[in-house]
Amino acid sequence: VSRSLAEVLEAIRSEDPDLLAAADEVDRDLLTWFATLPLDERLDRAGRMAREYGEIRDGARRG
Amino acid sequence: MALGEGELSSTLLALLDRGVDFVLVGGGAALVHGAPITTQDIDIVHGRTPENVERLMAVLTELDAHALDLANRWLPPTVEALSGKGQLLLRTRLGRLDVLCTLHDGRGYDDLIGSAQTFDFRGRTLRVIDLATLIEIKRSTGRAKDRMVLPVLVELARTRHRES
Repeated sequence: VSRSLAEVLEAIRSEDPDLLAAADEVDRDLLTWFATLPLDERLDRAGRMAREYGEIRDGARRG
Repeated sequence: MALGEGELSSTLLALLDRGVDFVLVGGGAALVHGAPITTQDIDIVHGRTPENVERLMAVLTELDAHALDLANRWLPPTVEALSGKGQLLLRTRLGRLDVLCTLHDGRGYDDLIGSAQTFDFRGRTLRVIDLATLIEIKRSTGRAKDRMVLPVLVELARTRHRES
């Protein structure tokens, strides 16, 4: 049985305070901005960033 | 095989246009819900009826999908594997596609479809695991990479909850 968002948040509140503390540190402006982008653009940006991180990682491995 | 611009979208469109029944989970689902994260792959849990496996197989063949086996060989997926309970971590010409017969906790498409939200994606209906269930999945895997994305998902959930 799936739980509601409120139930899941309540469970985290009682079981995982460290996670809540980490969530407090999330950049809310970034969240708000990203959520306003069209879905296509969110997917494209995520793929592009993953590719760029991969290139940086591969470059670092090559030294 | 590196991902390029538009390839996450292209993978989803290939599946949707072939009428494959699936629920999007993982990082792709987080992105659809609005989480600003990066992801290297698309993760889906597919229906395992013979008809749906046939449709999925057709897409995977079209995308030249292969998975590494225990002997380090790149092999194409099989109908048997797609009908089972395992997880196929595939490389395709559009990037990585993780095809999950079941999640780590054994839940399959039929167990998850009730927790899916529908989104319009270029005129198609995309079924995505809802944010509450996505958070529960990521909390329960115990994997570091899932733990890393959780603060963003929880803050997103708090925002959504305040808005509702």
